[in-house]
Parts: sequence; structure tokens; C-alpha cells
Amino acid sequence: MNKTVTEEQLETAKSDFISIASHHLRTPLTIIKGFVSLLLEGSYGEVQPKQQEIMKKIYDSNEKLVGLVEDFLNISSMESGRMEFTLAPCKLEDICQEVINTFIARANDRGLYLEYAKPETALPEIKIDSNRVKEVVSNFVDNAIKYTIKGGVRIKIEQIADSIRVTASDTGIGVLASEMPHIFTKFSRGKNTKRLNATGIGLGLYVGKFVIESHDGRIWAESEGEDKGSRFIFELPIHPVNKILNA
Amino acid sequence: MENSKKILMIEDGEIFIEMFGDRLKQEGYEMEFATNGAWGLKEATEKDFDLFIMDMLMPAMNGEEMIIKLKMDEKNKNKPIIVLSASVDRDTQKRVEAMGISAFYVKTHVTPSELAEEVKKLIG
Repeated sequence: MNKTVTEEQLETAKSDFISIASHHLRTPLTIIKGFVSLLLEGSYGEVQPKQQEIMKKIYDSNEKLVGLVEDFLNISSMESGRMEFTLAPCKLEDICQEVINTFIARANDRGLYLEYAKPETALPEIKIDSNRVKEVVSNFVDNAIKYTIKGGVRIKIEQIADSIRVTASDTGIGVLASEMPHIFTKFSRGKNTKRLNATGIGLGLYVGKFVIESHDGRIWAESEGEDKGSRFIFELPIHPVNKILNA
Repeated sequence: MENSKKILMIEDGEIFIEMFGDRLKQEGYEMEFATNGAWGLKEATEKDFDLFIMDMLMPAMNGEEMIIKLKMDEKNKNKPIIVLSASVDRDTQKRVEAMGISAFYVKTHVTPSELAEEVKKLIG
């Protein structure tokens, strides 16, 4: 029997499958999250320190699974052209500050600095999907911390001509010249990730590129090579032409 | 701990009724439950509640329809509504936020205690 399927039909089937599977995964993940948090809080009785420690590990692992499911759903909606954006005027420097506040403890726990450099005068507000752009900044900071052993991470925000640029610089393992063309592709992870026990499946930058480009922006990375640190950068236009649908 | 406030939770997943409901009961709220929108609306009309927590996707009248009907009811139109959804469907979220709900949560992103904090902020 000969069954021919077009590439488009295949892509749609894949996206639909990922979407359906991910929705079904959510229920058990929610149950684990909710009940483990209640157990940790002592809602069902006093908890011994060792039990507390183990349950925290379960909770954290589950949060990673939740993140993965979100990533899969993002990918499937991106690839089927269904990703939605909610645009509103935002101060990008405030979004960056929120991300810094979220990650400062983790950076310090690893003996790394996390600095924020912003201009003294306020930058113009820009019309963006603040949640999605915040995810891109978080991904930059998360990666920078994961791939840096000593030194730290610096986030800089500035106006360059008629764009706002956010740069995440780190003193980490850098990006090899051979890896550079692929870092924004799906499932791409650096060769040295095993060495660092870095978690993640390589979707953050892939989604980030889609989000920034949907905002008429640019995203790229620079590095002088192995162990020479890297800079991950995106720019968003202050007055976009507005390619985004569902605005 | 006694708290005279009454909450109606409309949710078709019994396990979520147990998980979120138990936590709210711990705060002293009087909890009642309905497992579909039509039943929930009936309860809301016949009894007095201080706050509604509802799922979006339910049999016999989904959450969105129920919100529309609550907002048309003189007794209930100003009562706070928290949506506790299984997923983020931004179109639905935008629509229900425009109707005037108090908060929109995705179940995978909120713990029972965080929900209890929000309820406390809304009705004390």
C-alpha cells in the first residue's frame, strides 16, 4: 500500500501530537506540584528534615518537567504558526531588573557575580509581549550562569540608534566557532555541556530567536572561543513595523 | 480557624478539588464544589458566595459562559472570580480578563498556598 503524505501534513501532525501530549502531561505534573508543595509546607503533618530534603528534590525535578512541557507547547505553537503575542508598552529595563532579582541568589550560590548595567536616564518604552521577552532575558541569564564556572554574568541595556539592545556577557566556557552557526537551532547544546552537568534540552534559544524576530528584532551571539566567555545579544526596534499577528 | 467567607469552586477534576479545596479549608473558608458549569451556576443563583474559583474547560457549560452569566446576575456580578485553568490559551485569557475577573492562574504554575494567598487578598 502506498501512502504519500506531504511535508506540510507531516509538520501539522507532529505539532498536533506534541500539543495533545503536552496538554495531557500537565495534569499529573500539576498534581505532583500541588501535593508536594502541601507536604513540604506541613499541611499533612510534621516533616522530618531528610523528608523535606527529598521532597524538595522531587518538587524541583517536577518544576523542570513543567518547564519542558511549556517548551514543547511553545515549539508546537511556533511551528504551526499559532503562537500568540500580547503587546503592551513596557519598560524593558524593568523586565531585566526582575530577571536579575530572580537569578541573583542562584548566581551567588555558585560563587558568580550577576551585575546589571543600565543608563541613568530612562529608556523609551517599547510595545512588546513582556512575558515572552522576559523569557528570552531569563534564558540568556540562565544559560550564562549554567555555562560559567568562575567570574560571572553582566546584563547591559542601552539604546543604540532606534533600537534597545540587551547584552548578556559571561566569563564562561564560550562558544566554539564550529558551534556558532547552530546555537539558535532546535535541540542545539554546546559540546561542553556534559562537562558542566548542564541541564536543559536546547530549546530556549530556538524559541528566543522566534520571539525576538517576531518583534522585528535581531538576536545573535559573540564569543572569542573556548573558555573565553560569550555575549548573547538581542535588539528590539523602538518603532516596529509590526509584523506580529494577533497584536 | 473560623472565617465566615464562602467560596464556590467549579472544577471537574476531583483531585484538584481535594488539593486546592483542602488548602482553602485550612484557612477556614467554607468550601462548596460543583463539577460542571450548569450546576455551578445553579448553586451561585440559589446560595450566597463571597468568591468563585473556576476551571475553564468543563462539561455542561464551560467557564467562559459561566462568567458571562455571573456578570449578568445582579447578586453575583461584583463578586471576585479566580480562573484556575489547565492551560494558557491567551485568546480566552484576554477575553475573560476583559469581562472583569480578578485573577487568571494556570494550574501548573500555582501552588495551593499561592492560591490561598490570592483569595486572602481578595476577600480576607
